[in-house]
Amino acid sequence: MCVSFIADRYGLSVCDVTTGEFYTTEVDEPKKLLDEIYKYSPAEIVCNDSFLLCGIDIDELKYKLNAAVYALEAWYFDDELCERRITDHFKTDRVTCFGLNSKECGMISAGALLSYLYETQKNSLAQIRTIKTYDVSEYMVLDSATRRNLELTETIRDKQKRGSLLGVLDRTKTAMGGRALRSFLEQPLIDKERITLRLDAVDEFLKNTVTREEIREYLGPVYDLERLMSRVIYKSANPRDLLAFGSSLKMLEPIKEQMKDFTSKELSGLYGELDTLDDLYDLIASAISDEPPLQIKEGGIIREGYNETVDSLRNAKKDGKNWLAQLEARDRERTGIKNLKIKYNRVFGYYFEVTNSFKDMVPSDYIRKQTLANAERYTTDELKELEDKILNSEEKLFSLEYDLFCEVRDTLADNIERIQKTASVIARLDVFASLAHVAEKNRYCRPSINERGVIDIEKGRHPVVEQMINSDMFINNDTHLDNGKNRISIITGPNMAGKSTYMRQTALIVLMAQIGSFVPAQSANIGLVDRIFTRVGASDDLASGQSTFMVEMAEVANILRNATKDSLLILDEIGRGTSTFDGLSIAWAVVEYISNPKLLGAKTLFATHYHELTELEGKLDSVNNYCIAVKEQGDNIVFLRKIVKGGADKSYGIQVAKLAGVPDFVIDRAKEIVEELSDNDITVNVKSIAEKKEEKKSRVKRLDEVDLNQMSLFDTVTDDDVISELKELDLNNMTPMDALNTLSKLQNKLINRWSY
Amino acid sequence: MDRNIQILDKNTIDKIAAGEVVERPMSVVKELVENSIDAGANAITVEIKDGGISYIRVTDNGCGIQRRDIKTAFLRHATSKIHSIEDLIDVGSLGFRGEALSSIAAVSKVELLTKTAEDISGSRYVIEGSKELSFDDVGVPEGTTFIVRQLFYNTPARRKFLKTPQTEGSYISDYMEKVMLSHPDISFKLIINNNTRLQSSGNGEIIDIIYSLYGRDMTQALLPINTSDGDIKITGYIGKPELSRGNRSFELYYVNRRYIQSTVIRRALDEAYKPYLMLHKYPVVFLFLDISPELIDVNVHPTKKEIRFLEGGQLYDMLVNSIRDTLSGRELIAQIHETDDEDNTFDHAPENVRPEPFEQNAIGTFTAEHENERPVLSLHETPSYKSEDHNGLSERIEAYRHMPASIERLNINVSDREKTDVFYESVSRSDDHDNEGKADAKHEQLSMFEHGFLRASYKAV
Repeated sequence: MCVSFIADRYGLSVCDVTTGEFYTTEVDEPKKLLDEIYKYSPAEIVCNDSFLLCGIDIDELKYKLNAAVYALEAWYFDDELCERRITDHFKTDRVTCFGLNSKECGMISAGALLSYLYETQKNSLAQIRTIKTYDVSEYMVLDSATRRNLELTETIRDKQKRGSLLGVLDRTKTAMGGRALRSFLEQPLIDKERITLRLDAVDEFLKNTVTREEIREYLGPVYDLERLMSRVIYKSANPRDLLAFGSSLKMLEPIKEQMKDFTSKELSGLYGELDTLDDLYDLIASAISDEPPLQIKEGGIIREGYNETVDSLRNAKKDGKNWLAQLEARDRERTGIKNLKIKYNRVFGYYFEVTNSFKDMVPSDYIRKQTLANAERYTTDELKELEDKILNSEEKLFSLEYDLFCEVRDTLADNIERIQKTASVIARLDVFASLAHVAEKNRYCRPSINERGVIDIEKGRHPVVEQMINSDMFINNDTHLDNGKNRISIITGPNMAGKSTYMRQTALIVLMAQIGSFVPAQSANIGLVDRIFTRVGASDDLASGQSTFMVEMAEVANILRNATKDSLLILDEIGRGTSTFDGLSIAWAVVEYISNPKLLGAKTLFATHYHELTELEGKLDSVNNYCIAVKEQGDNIVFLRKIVKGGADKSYGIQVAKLAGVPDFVIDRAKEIVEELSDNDITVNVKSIAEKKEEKKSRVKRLDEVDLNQMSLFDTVTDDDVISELKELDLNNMTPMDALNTLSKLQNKLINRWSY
Repeated sequence: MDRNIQILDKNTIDKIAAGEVVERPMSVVKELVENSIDAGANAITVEIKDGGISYIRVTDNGCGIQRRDIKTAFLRHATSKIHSIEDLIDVGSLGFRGEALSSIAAVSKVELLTKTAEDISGSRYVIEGSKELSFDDVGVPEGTTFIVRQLFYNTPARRKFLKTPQTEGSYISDYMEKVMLSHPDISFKLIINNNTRLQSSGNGEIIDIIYSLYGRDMTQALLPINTSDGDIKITGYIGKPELSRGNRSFELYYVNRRYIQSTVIRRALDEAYKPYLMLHKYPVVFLFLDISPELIDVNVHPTKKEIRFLEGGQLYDMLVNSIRDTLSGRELIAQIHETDDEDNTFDHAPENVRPEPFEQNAIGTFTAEHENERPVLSLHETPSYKSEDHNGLSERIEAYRHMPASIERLNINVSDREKTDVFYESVSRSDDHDNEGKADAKHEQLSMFEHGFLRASYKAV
């Protein structure tokens, strides 16, 4: 990946040399840049100097990604050089064809990356055929915390694919399809039409089970064409690779045949675009033999009948073998040595081998070549002649086969564009087939997409958890959110009752719908969401010196500053990790802020233990209370896992603790204390606060105060940070340039305080 | 020993009666699945371990059981399916004798988890050997789950007579295959020892189920069949003669969506395929018969497997005729496919082409010459396919247009005499390809078919 920071804009280009994919984009905020960087998780980042000074915490980046980050010399980023580099490589006149004319910063990063790759890869990079320029606004924004919390591609606990959403959806048959599905998941769409096209494709596959399963059967033997091609380009492909290629190509014709009746736009488009590469298949099938060796310089590669010279040389070799056999037989008779043999080794070539017992029967024209413990090895003129002939023809044969092999390989390389296109068609086909297969297997339904911001899910289920519990016992729940009276759902109820699962399932269902997949529900009407934010789970980050509370507040801050009215917020227990009063107050204020359409107005699921917050339902008309149903049976609670309207009045924390096995003595004492505390219930105080809120003026004023207070609190902290760094500067040993750079870096830090 | 006549105690009665209904794990699965279907579920999962001897679970998403009805459900002769004997005539549901649950509970350890849509909490009821152990609230999704553990734990004699887990499991598997076919609109799943073995999508397409159960080779050799006659409708797929088998295990037929055996149907199949198959070879058929309930008697056999028909003869004739039609019509379709289907330049059939009336068929010569061969028609003229034409062929072709899911009422006027000939109906199958005039006729046949239909029929074939 290459990042260039020029004049307040960030250009970003990323390339996978094994597949040839090359993406470029440009953003104006460090936050967005970091989102993209975390999305790709590159192993190596090169950049220009200014990027290192722009205020982003490079060390943290290095640590989190486990990537190497360093700056290239300035000349890499010269705009003319970059432009030339691009036009030269892709053999075009201008960069407009890639949409880079309006993205100068992006163009520079692309050119710089190309230059860097040329330097390090030392080959033609022919597998990079095009630059895909995109806009981050084309896709749903998911920051790294959300990707992690929702466990899209790997689990939090052990970073495995199994147990993540990708693990549930990925039933692709090819490696290319797997990669394509992953990128679908990482870049959900926000355009209704594009989503509908994908849904239609999945739908068609669902209705035609037989065709779909047939296609999946044919996809099974298809190898990773993209990676195979990169081996061809790097000239490291061996005959077996080409055979693998050929056997993959063989599947294309039947696949195309199966596709011919498709009517959906996406699938019929793929049908038209699928180039079955018949000519290449024929070439490989006719040229490469069935079981070639791994070595490319030792023959056995080319099939019989492909090339006359090869065939005749082979015959010569075979004849040679016959001649040898004949010679052996003749000499055996002639000399009378019954166990006379002609053998071969690399050092001595061909020789007669005679055991010591027959040594004296050896005729005079035998020239001794080698003595062994129990045998002697000889040669004759005749044998030498034959040997020369055979070895010569062998040499010629090997070199000819090698040349022919290279020819075939190079023909493939010339066709790389066609092959890449076919690979991407196959990948997409595989993805849609997989999504349909999973939709059928797991009993999903087709979501309808609306642009009114209404999220209406009936009997929704969590796609991963329902598979993991494995006994059809997942309890479904409805979700209803919109931009009016149902903007915020405050969910109360005990721990372990399923609040987190419920909220995550809502987010996952929305995300799945926006990928174009069917969703685990009886029916779903999904309003397009531009971003999903999650604030769930504990996250101590002791290594970077931040407590749980600090991290959570930073995440909340990030959300509140970056969400829009079309975003979906999943907030789990805001305000814990600090004193009850502080936590409750923060949570309260956050809910008020979000519910106000002039301030934010995003759809939110807000889980909390502060059931005082249920007071907000009457006071703010876009807030609704829900709780997780539990049933008490004496001291025990039964988790019903159903979301019902209304607020919980108890947290059942004590009962859950009892379930967990906390000793009875502690439980009983806790119950006593709860009684006492309830008498001094803060609920009463809270109610009065709620009433006061009705006065508009005071509400506004208070908000500003709180706002300012919050700002100054954090600003103090930031300033300390920068101040201490200033204090520690060693001015005596700095050049003026260094000093200026440091000054610039500190200034940027202050400006960009809210990135993390 | 006391040899007086005495009434048995309840426990013993239960166990004995249970033996009638619950012979083996497969019976338990069958009863529970039928209950699930009656409950209106569209997704049913069956999980077994150890062939079903130690563990059977049937989960459905149907209407659930009300809390107040749970205890009653396990009593003998308790059922929600009928209220009086008159209901029995109209019985649309599969279970109705009210014996299943009490029988199962008498000889195993049962756990019931159920929740109706109205209730917020579900119920968990545990009963072992007819003795209730617990009754609690529980969190479960809507629907019902029965878990039956340790079948015949209290009747060791019965248990000894069970076959190996593999065998018992295969009975269950066979049953599941049949029930999947009879209810294509329900999604079924069968899990054996933690592996999902069978699954159907519930999308209503029989052919999808056949494909997933039996594979591509069988699916490609099946022909759709679709015919009706007043009270009897027949749909489904029949196998081409090349799919012959050594036994009747693939003669699968369902009456009103219930898998049954019937001598009438068996004989009809034998007769229909007689010209095509060798002796001791049997065809592959998947037939679905819809017959008005008044014409059937279901209460014959405890396991409801054999049924009796009121109008056996009518059924017999209808089956033989329609099967033979399809099999002969098959060649028609196959030939059409060989020609270029883009050749639809004809708008109408030529005027002078009319069907050869049945009476003019050289029936006698036919039967004499072509006893065991595939029938070859001796028609000299080809029929037209105008829609006004009431010869049954065009209607049958219309029928092929639709997949078996929809049933059409066809007006096949099959007079007594023609019954045997309908097989040799005026199908334009000129086998003498050297006759140029016929080639045109073949194209004309094409003109009647839409593009899509051809492709659809090819897919089915």
